[in-house]
Amino acid sequence: METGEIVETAEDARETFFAGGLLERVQSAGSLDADGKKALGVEIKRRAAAERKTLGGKIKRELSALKETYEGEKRALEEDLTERLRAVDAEFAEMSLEERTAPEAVREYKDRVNGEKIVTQRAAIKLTREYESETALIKSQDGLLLRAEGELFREATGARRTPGIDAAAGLANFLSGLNVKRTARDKKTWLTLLPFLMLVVIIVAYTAACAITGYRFNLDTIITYGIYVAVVAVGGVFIYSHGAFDMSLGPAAMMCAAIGGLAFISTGSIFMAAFCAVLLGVGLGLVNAFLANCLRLPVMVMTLTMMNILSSLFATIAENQAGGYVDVSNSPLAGADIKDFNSYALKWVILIVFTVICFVLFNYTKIGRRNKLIGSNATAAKYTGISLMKAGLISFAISGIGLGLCGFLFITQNGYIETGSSLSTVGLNVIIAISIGGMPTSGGPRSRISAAIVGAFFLIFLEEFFAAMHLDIYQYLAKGLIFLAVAFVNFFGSRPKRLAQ
Amino acid sequence: MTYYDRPKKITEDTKTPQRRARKFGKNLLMSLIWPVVCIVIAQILASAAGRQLFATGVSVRTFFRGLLMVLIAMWALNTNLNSGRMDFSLGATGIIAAVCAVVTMGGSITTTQEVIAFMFLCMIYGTIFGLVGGAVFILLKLPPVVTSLGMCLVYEGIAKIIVGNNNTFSFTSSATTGQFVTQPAVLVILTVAVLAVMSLIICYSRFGYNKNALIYNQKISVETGIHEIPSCLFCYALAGLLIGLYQFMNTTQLGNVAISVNLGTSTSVFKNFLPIFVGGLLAKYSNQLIGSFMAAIGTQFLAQGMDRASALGFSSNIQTLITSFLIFFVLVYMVDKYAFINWVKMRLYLRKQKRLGLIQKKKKEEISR
Repeated sequence: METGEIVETAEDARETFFAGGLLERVQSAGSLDADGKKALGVEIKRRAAAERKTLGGKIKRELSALKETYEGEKRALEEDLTERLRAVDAEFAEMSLEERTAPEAVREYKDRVNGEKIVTQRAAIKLTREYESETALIKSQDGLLLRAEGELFREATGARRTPGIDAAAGLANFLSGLNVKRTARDKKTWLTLLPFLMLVVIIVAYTAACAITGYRFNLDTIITYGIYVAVVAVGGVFIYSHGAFDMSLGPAAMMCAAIGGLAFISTGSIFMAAFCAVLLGVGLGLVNAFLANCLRLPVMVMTLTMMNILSSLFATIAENQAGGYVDVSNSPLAGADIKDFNSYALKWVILIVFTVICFVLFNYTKIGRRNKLIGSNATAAKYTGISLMKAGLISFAISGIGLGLCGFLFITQNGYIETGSSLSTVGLNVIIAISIGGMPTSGGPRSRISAAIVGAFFLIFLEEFFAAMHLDIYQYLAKGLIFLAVAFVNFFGSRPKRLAQ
Repeated sequence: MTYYDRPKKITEDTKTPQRRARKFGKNLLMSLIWPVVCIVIAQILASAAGRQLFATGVSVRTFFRGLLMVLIAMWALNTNLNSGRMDFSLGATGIIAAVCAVVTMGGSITTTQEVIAFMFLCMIYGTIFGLVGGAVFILLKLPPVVTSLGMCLVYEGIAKIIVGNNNTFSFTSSATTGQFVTQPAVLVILTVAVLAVMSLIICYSRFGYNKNALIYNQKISVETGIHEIPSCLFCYALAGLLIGLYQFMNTTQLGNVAISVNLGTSTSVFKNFLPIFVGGLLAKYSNQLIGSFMAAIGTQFLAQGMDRASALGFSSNIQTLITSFLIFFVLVYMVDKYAFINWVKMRLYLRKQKRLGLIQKKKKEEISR
């Protein structure tokens, strides 16, 4: 397949679309005054617009021609296959009946037919790939024209940025590379989209359940508890991406809430409350990291033991308070109730800022890349020079920040914390949320921050859905079954042949 | 070409009676050291609180019932744990087994016959649910932690559906129900039966041999013809049977089945980590069974001592803290004991050198570096 007059790079686009003296004028634009530059800019835009008009028709023509050629070649392949199969049949028809019906001959016939089919299939796949790449190239003409326009405009006018043209070029490039048919057929796409689809389905189901049963749309609970789980889960992704489990997240969040609240009582400052909660969270994370990475204790057992320690510590603190729980609602120093600082805005700001920071750290820095490699193969990571200890310390510390923020939000919402409060189950919900969000619990390259957010809100909507249906007692079974099903889907391709240990 | 005498092979003949006696003495000493130290500490704690370790005959019986429960829970957890499978669903398996047994009994367990029937039902249901957990693990081929977390949620969910919104599942009981397991004859029979069955299974059966081979190296064992799937299923069934018995003892003591959700059931079993790990250390000097038995005795005495010293501030939370720190200590020793021992030796050496005035502060820093 061949395509005529198609440019492949932005350089070619400049020379093809802006030929006829315009390029030379842009090169000597430095000598022009401001008005001259402006006029040149306008001319570039005018030329680009004119080229775009003709380009639309040209792209259509090229695409239809390419499609015709593609279909023709595909037909030829099919015809070729039919002929070759006919030849095989003829060859076997020449044999006597006995020879033809012998098991070896039957097997050979089948092998040859399958062989011919496979050859054609491979040729068809190659042809389709070529067709798709050439289609993408033809569709990218618009984007290349926009890129060339942006570059020339900047050179001519001296402008640093051309955000409008750049955004349009980016969009055009994205659309040219988009192959809806292939994307829809790709299993990976659906696996990635599955958690989002599940979230949409559960939201719709919850809304319908509220409408049917007359249950109050409990947005307050969803946002509040969803944000608690999401904040801890976002930090937790850094640990889980290593393939490690942290079972102590719930009691650790409770301790952060208690210490943050007590700091508010002692100092009267909300900032000190937040600072102390986060500091304790980071401290607890570092202790865990020290035990796991420096003393090399098995993470699961270590975090389970840490869970017992933190629960006991919290219970001891609570026992020593009047009423048997940590009440921090009123600080005599601040003369205010800690609940006065509770607002949706605060919760959303904390969740969004923390998520964005974690997203950047996880996807665009060494920290995230290291974590994914460690989760994928810790030994390989170690021998490529990655310090497992350093990576562990950073991950547990980031997770600790999430714990501190969650504890702080909880205490501003409730003003007190007691043993068995909803925060104690956050740890379990984080595990389920991360798994439901589409991240394998073994960590590795498929770890992603979005899993924490999607999973956390899915879980809360699921609980609320059962509450709306007045079937609260079924939510635990549903949670377990969904967890197992999603984990099975997440691990499907990477399950070992032998039983896992 | 020069020929050399081959070195003498160390055979049984070279093990002189003296050497054997010395080795036996060492093994005996090491096996007994944990329980003896714990008994001494417990006695000191009780004396410090001005109380006796065992005030009455009832407290002795309660102690032995607790010991048996620790042993059973420990072996139930260890059956899968030492094969590299952490089982979160064990507590939930026990609870759902007890719930199903109570339902089958019609909610009334008053006479001795009914209690015995309840015990067998708990064990049967425990085995069934254990097998189901094992089958799910084998079919899904997911990591054991993930499968057991899912199964824990599923079992807790089913128990919740059966029980409803209550946190406990009560049944009609009598004094016989509560006292059944604390009767000396029952305690002795149960202890002997459990020890005999476990020793038979672990030390003298094909299953025990295969299990140990699989623990050592799964790949080689499978390639030499050991079937891992039946072994795994048997492990889960055995764990279910034991946890069913544990839950029976717990339920008859409480008079109801406590229902937990959101993994609340797992904590009741995981509190037995300390005897498991100590048992693993002591097993080197005898065998797995005796090691874990000694560890359980020591741990139970320690718990008894702290209970008796509650007036000194040993509340249940403090006890949990002490036990958890002991677990860390044992884990550190187990995971990298030579590094730990060397570190301790270095500290002692430095202290001695410092006491003798042989090293200055700077030198000490250099040595530790």
